[in-house]
Amino acid sequence: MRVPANGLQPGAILAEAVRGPGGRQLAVAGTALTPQHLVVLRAWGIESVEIGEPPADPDRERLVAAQRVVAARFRGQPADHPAVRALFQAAVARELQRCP
Amino acid sequence: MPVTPTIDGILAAAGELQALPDSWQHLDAVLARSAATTAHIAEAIAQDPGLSMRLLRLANSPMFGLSQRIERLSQAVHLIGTRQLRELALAVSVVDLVGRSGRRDRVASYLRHSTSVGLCARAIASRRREANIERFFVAGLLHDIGRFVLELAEPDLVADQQTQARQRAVPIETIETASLGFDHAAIGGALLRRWNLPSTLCEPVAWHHLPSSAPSQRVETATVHLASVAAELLGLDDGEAVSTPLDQSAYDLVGLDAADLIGAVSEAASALAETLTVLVGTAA
Repeated sequence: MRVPANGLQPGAILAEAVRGPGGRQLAVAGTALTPQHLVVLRAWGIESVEIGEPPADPDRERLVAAQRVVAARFRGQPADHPAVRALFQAAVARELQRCP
Repeated sequence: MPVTPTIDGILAAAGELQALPDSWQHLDAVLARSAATTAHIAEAIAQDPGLSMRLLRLANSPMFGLSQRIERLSQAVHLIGTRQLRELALAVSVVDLVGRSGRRDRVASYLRHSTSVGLCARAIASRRREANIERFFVAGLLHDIGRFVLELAEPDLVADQQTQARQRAVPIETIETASLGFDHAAIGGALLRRWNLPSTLCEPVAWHHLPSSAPSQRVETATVHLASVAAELLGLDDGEAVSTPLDQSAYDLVGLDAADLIGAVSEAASALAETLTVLVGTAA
């Protein structure tokens, strides 16, 4: 959904990256806009932006799903222990392999 | 009101599991004689053809990674060593007993879990350059025998405990201790003492949830604790249960860094399917 810059509210999510006149990226897709972002967008003369859910990233979604499955087994473990952290990473990699 | 089961009562309901098979006891007696020669030992093993065949297959499996193929028991005695072969014969004997005692699906998932922990304990011990790493394999393989025996004796109680553990997202031993006053580790320790096994096996089994409480076999117990936590967290047994929390002092006593631990459990993971096939005689 295209929204004019003067109609933006803090908290709105960018569906695509916003670039300035020279092509410089001002904010990435998925950014939740803060009042500071709104000031920057106005300062760069951005007239409108695309608001909504960013396009789905299947790899990212698989990773998040695998982390969720594995995290259930790690309840009660000392999460900041180096061995527990290493086992968590290994378990997520294994889960991603198991469910391609 | 139902009577709360005691450890003795649970063991009394364990059927065939109450004693180790005669073939293993015979072999153990031969090995205990200091004058036993390679030929004597090979002959004692050969009296049980099923045991002989599986020991040879185990000796030729990726667990050992030997460069030459072992065709004869006498070769296995030479290459693997008498003490280690005794441990492996014990492992095979117990797997047989378990296989004959329970429902097929329960046996399969129990042995998958046990073998994964046995292989992890063995791989950790190997990285610590321990002598006779097969005793770590057997300790890991036996660590949850109390859980198997408890389920044989009290299937409804165990099903209820598993539901509670899942709902409350706590390790199963927390629920067992609350309802029985002891956990499956204590049952396993009592069974192994009944089998007259040494403290190097009894203690890691009895104390694998509380490794710092082991009276004398601290390293063995810490290794089995670490192996069971790592195998469960990594999901080697395909289980979803919440694991015992990692014990910091056991981890320090074992002394592997995180990378070495991951190396050891990865090694165990890659040997799991074939080891299970050899031990159980079915694909994992």
